[in-house]
Amino acid sequence: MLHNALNLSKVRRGILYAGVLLIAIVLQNTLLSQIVIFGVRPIILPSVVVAFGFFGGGIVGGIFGLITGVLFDMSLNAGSIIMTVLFTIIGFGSGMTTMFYTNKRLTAFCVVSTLALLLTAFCQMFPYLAFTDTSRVPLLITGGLQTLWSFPFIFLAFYGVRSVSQINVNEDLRI
Amino acid sequence: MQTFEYAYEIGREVNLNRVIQYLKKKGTGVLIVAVIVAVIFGVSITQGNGKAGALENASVSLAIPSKKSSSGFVGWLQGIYSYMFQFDTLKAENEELKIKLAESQTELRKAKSAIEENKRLRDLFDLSDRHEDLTFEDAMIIDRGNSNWNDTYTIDKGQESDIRVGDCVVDSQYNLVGQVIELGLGWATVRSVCDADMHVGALVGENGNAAMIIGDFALMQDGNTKLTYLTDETQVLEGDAILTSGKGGTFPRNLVIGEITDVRTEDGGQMKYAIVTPSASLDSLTQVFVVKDFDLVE
Repeated sequence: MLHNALNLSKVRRGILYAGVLLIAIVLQNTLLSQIVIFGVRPIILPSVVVAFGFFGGGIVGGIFGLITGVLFDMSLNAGSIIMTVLFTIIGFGSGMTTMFYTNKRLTAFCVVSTLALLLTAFCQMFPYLAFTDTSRVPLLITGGLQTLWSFPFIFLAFYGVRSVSQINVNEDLRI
Repeated sequence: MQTFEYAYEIGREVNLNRVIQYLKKKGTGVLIVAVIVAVIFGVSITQGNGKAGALENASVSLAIPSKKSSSGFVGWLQGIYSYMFQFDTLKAENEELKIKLAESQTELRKAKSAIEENKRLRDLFDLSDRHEDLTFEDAMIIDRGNSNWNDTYTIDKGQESDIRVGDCVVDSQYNLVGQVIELGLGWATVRSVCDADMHVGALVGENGNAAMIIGDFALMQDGNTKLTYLTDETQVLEGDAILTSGKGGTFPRNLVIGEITDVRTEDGGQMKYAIVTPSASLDSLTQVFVVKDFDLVE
């Protein structure tokens, strides 16, 4: 009965995406955290969330954006929930974009990912902009460099998630 | 042309209607779920008082082995790089350190003699000892933080070692490294002394005038911090040592924070502030000591 109630192909697809997310988080926390150029590190998670939305649709993008945002907020130790809400919106929005406005090709993905990276940088610098008298210039420089250094990893996110989304999950398992 | 424009307008209108319908059908639900999860997550953060919840404990505990291995791998690569390209520099630094060690040993012998004389005089005048007992917990740094917006470290000791949120962290030379801001099982997050959210009461120079160390984002990027709230009487010079004041009971007194490397004036032109370079080698630290308890006995 449970077998009939579950959509196994969706469950399998979800497990594959969860595996991609896990790899992205490990990559972010290990390799990318060690790449420091002019004191700034790249981030890959916004691009991965956009990729989930691109190839999985709005709902999948929203769900995995929510999970990614929660984990990202935990790792930042900032005590905020900004990324939780932001990544959900990014994931859902990127799914909607491909449904109504763009194709699923690399150029469109690059544009949407860049916007997501800029939005992420803005939300991360917003507490300093709004609640402290920190000078704007170093904040903007850090946000710009973070977006710039993250750009090469857009391709990794695109091809990685696209490869996973093309795996056939509709075959029945035979024991 | 008019037909095309008409068809384009119809298509746009249909497309917009579909978008609105999709948003109403799916977007509302996703947004509600996101807000609920965010509120629950936010409440757990505020109620935890710095202690990590079960989910965060699990996620960090799972990440610790990979963080340790990547830190170890990077350290190994750095060691090879140092051996190949910095051998001469290291050799010269070694010779310099040997000379400093010899000088320190001479100073130590003099200090021992002074301590014995101090004890004799205290006994003579029946004065009680004044000392500050520090209880330490040693810990290793397993991760240096992966955010561009704060400066934190993860250490491999946590709640199980009786560490509390707010405990200060020092290195082996009693230089201030930072403060514990989050606790988990087997790990803790330490906010660096350079972090933009750091606040420490400080004493300046030989006169011990009071001031405050308040983090600054721009200076944090350079590995420095800001000394501010200087009174008019306070004389600040480059090279002056900055120590913790011990006011408020959060940090023990007389821990070395750093030294002044520059004195500047605020944008308004009236207040001056100083740039402080921490004495702890924050980039190369591997072992730190959490001050779990300290008593000031007069």
